[in-house]
Amino acid sequence: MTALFPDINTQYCINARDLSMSRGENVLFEGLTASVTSGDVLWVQGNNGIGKTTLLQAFAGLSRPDFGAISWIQEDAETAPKNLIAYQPHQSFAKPTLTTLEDLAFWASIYGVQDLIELTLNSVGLAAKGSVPTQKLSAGQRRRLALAKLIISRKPIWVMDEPSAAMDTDGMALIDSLIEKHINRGGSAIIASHDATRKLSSNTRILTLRASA
Amino acid sequence: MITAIVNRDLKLALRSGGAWLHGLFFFAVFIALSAIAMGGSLNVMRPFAPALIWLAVIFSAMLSFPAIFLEDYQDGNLAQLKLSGVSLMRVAIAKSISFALLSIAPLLLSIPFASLVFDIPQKTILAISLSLIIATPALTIYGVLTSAILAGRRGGFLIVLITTPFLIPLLIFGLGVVTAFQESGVGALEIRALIGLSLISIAVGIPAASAALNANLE
Repeated sequence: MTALFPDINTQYCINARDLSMSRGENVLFEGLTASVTSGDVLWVQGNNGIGKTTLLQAFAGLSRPDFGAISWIQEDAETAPKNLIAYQPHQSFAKPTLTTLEDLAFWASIYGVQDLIELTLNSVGLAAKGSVPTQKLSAGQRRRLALAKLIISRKPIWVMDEPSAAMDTDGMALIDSLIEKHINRGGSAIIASHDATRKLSSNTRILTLRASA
Repeated sequence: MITAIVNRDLKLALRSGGAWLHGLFFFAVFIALSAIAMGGSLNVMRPFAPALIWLAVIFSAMLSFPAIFLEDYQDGNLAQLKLSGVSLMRVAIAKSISFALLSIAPLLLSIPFASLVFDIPQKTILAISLSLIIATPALTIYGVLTSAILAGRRGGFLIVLITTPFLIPLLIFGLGVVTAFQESGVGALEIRALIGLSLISIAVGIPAASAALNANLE
């Protein structure tokens, strides 16, 4: 049977060099350099509107920096973010009229891991919600579904935008334990959050974005 | 992968409360209003029937163009598909199939009923249906390309601006097929020309739509 968390044996990393990004006229950050590789957890912190989501989208290859460059490297070769990144946006991307099971099954078929659907739903505590349309899930349950989609992608780097928003205490503990399992198998995570940072790996780092003077 | 996207689109459409039938409703209204505007005289209406049905199909299809990628773009599903590693070309193909099944097929099926309004002979109905079936790939691909370019925007005026140059030759060849089929049967040159137009649309439109999606997702 396929393991829920695969061992990630390849060498990979994301390098962001001298990044500058803006939103309209407003410069969000300049000269940002960061790197994430196997076993790393990078917490991205900062006030609302400071550019955390923009930075995460850039890490995921979904938005281009104004200056600087991001490279995604796997086994000494440049690659595309699609080979490395699973991105959990702040907004749920579940289709409201699909059931939880149907929504997850769609992504499982995209990733070719249909045999992991039930196991993944169990792992995020949504086993009893399989037949419920996603529009009837609570905000916290939708976050759990988004987490299930991260797991089912089996990508090495999880880029997570406010994963614990609307989560109860159990949900937050669940996120931490799933991230730890992922890290222990060679994965890494970039997490934007307002929560207090937790040491989820021996190589946990904090990147704080501040408004330029 | 393509099947998964098409299946999901069909499921979502059937659960959308009938939104996918708006084009068909517009088609029926267009035909009814055309008949009223032309005074209801069959002798006056009959020669214009193929052109009116063709225009009704084109306008109804155009009504649904923006929706092809709009929701998937806005709710982040397109970005997730890109990150999943699925080729955006395959996404464009899947969306073309979904659009043809959900928006064009109902129009094609309703042509015999629309023809009753104009009391046109069976051979003409067959010719109109044949011409529209052959044109379906081209019409679909123009929609997919337009929606891919507009991804995330409704852009009513832009749709007209982008699609009109493509739709004019389609309309000319399509109506040419209606006439030619009745005179020369399936061997008519216009039929081959329309098939060619549809094939070119697929060959050029799908990669172009994929490139447009990729550009919109960066």
